[in-house]
Amino acid sequence: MRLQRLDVRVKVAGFAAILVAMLVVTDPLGNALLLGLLLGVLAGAGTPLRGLWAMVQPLLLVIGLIVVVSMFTGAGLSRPGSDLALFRAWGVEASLGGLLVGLNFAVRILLMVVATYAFTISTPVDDLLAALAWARAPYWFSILVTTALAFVPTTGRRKDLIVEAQRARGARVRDTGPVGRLVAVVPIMVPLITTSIMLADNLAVAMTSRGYRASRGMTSMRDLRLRACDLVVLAGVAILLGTVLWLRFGLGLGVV
Amino acid sequence: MDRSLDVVGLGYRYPRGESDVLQGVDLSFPAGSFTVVMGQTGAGKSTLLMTLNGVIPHLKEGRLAGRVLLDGTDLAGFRVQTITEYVGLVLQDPESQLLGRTVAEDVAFGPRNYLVPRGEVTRRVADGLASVGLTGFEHRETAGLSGGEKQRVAIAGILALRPRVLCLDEPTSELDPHGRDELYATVDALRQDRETTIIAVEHASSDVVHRADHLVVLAGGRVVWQGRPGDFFRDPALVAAHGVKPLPVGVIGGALAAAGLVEAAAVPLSVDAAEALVRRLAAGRPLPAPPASPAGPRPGSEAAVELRDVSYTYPGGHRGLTGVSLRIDRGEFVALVGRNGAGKTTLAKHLNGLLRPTGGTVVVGGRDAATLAPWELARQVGYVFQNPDHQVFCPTVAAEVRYGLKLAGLATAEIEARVDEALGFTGLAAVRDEHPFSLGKGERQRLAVASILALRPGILVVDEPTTGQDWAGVQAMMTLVDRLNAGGTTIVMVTHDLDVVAHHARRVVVLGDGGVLADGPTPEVLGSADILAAAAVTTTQPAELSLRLWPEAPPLLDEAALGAHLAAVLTGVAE
Repeated sequence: MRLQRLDVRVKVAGFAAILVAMLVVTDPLGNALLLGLLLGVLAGAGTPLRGLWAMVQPLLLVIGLIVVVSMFTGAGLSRPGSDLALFRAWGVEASLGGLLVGLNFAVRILLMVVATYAFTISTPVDDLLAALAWARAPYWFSILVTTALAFVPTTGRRKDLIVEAQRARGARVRDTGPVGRLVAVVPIMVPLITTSIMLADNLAVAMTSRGYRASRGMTSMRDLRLRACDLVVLAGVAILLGTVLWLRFGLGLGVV
Repeated sequence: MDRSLDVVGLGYRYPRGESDVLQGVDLSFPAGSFTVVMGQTGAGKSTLLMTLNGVIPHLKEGRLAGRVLLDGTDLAGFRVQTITEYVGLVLQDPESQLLGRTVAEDVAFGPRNYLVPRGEVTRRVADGLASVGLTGFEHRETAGLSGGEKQRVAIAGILALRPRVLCLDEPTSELDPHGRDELYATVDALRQDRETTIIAVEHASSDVVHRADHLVVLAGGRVVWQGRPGDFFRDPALVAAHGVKPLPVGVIGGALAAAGLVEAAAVPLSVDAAEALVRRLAAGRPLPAPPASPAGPRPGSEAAVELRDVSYTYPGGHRGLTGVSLRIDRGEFVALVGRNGAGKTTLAKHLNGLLRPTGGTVVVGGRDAATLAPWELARQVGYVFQNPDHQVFCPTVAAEVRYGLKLAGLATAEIEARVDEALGFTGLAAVRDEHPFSLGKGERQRLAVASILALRPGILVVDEPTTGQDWAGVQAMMTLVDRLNAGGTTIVMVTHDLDVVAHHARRVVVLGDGGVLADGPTPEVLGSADILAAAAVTTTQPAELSLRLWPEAPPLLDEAALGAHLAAVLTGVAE
């Protein structure tokens, strides 16, 4: 995966450029073009895209709802014809403008998902921390990030133990379907939060015992260095963003 | 003056505490020495260690009196981050001390906080890992390590600060025997240079009696005994008076001393020394073997649970059980032993349906467990887990016991009657309206038992019931389990503690690599040295001594009985 070798700062810049481009373009077709371009670049760089479906699948229902709701409520756009009625249902009119707004939201969500996915699978935590240090983020913030990440597996294991203990006392855990899963979470939260608070107390002692806040910072263990290919990609990102901004504000394209 | 860490007139009271946790403690830890601190839960052991490195009073509020001196310098005026460069503290729970994603990152955390230059950090990480025997683990993820490995990484993280004093707070209480051996091998290696002062809180007497230079016993926040560990464990009455787990050979030797056969100072502290002493006293004459242990009441022959060729493969492909066939009758008391990963807990979880076999059948109370839902099985097979903190979800002790009864859909009057009964049986009636987390660990463990007992299961599975408890807690827990068994409950106990097995279980099943290696009455199994060695389980001191003296007879497992027998036959020999 070539994306992994890219300097983390270039990836952050690319991510920010996608965000800006996506927000200035309000035409779903324009954003769909951006999405296609992003997917093409990722596939070209050898990024494994199979894991993407698992992230998109649970969102499909939400995306569908957004499109339907905005179709009925999102009229009032400036472009002529946007208040064109498509059909009526339950006494409410669905407008073309509303549909376009909804579709645009949908494509924006997909863009965000793809960009986030590509960033997270190609960026080790260490890289992220090095970027935070480079950006002069306060050092407690970096500690916060690493500690939180370190506790994801621990908390997961604790959750499993609590669920087993409840089942051993006769709890009928229904963890199928979105509602069942939500209901099953509630009785787990109390013991999980209680044990997490006790864990946090121990953690504070452990961190202090290792000299946390002994100085105003920490020895940096990693250097970031831009290479030629990083600069090429960065230039590409700048040109792309420039083009989108020119199309949008120079030519007035990409608006509905 | 000699280099040492000293505490003078140390006293401490937690905020809102009703009494002092430490009172007028005076102690001296000479440089390079190894001191063990023992005492019951609540005696002030952890508090003492936290005052040594300044966590008390800097991080925990409260009233501190007295002084902590390092080489004569009072530490009161220094920041805790300054003290920790000299006095390092390793905590009990390995999970809450790991601060890095990878091993190298974790060990580097300390020196990086002191802005140690990068090259030096790398060197200290390598040195720290070498001292705990984890060279080559630098890039392993901390989340995937075993408990023993995690605890060693935590020690390496403290060593990377190059402290002069290393404090270990019950470093082995969450570890299996293998992890405990790893940890003490690390302590032995650190002792080689005689530079680092080590202060450890520990319950397991056999691990430290030969290692420590000095023993401190705390009770109610005061030092009630201190001196050479051997002198303490040679005197069974003294050990019992302070609520510390006795050393079994010390008890045997104590019986010989009481019979006037040896001087109190010559009481042996190891099986080798005990064997040599007995042979010297016997002076070549044969010693009659002890009468076989009386067999317990024979339980009825109705099967409580039966496993027929049960296999279990974990989703990842790891084989947990490989064709286990086992029948446990009603009223039996069975111990499952074996090293970590041998399949003890995997087997136990099949009994109440937490795991379903991937091959074979589990029969509970005459019915195929596959036809019963987990909540139906829960009423027949109770399961008490190792850590009580994951089993407690309710705001009061009584509500906790009520939880399972409500789920079972019982009438209110019946529920309340059962709550009273279960709390009475476990000795928790006085704390019924307290919050479970305000109880001590031993009480929380008994609450976990109470909440299962209320469901009146015919079969009770207890997973590591004595881990992390002091001697009084171990005895209270096992007395409870014995009473349940005497009342007809079938007991299946998963444990690493063979001393507990020897005194309580009537049948032992040894597991190894997911299969049954041995299955039989306790004396028979604990006497099969080769089978236990294959399972990486060490037998008890009385069983080993008994086997060395009478290789043909079943071993006598109770140290008091063995001591009495030896005293009787040796006084006969002496006449």
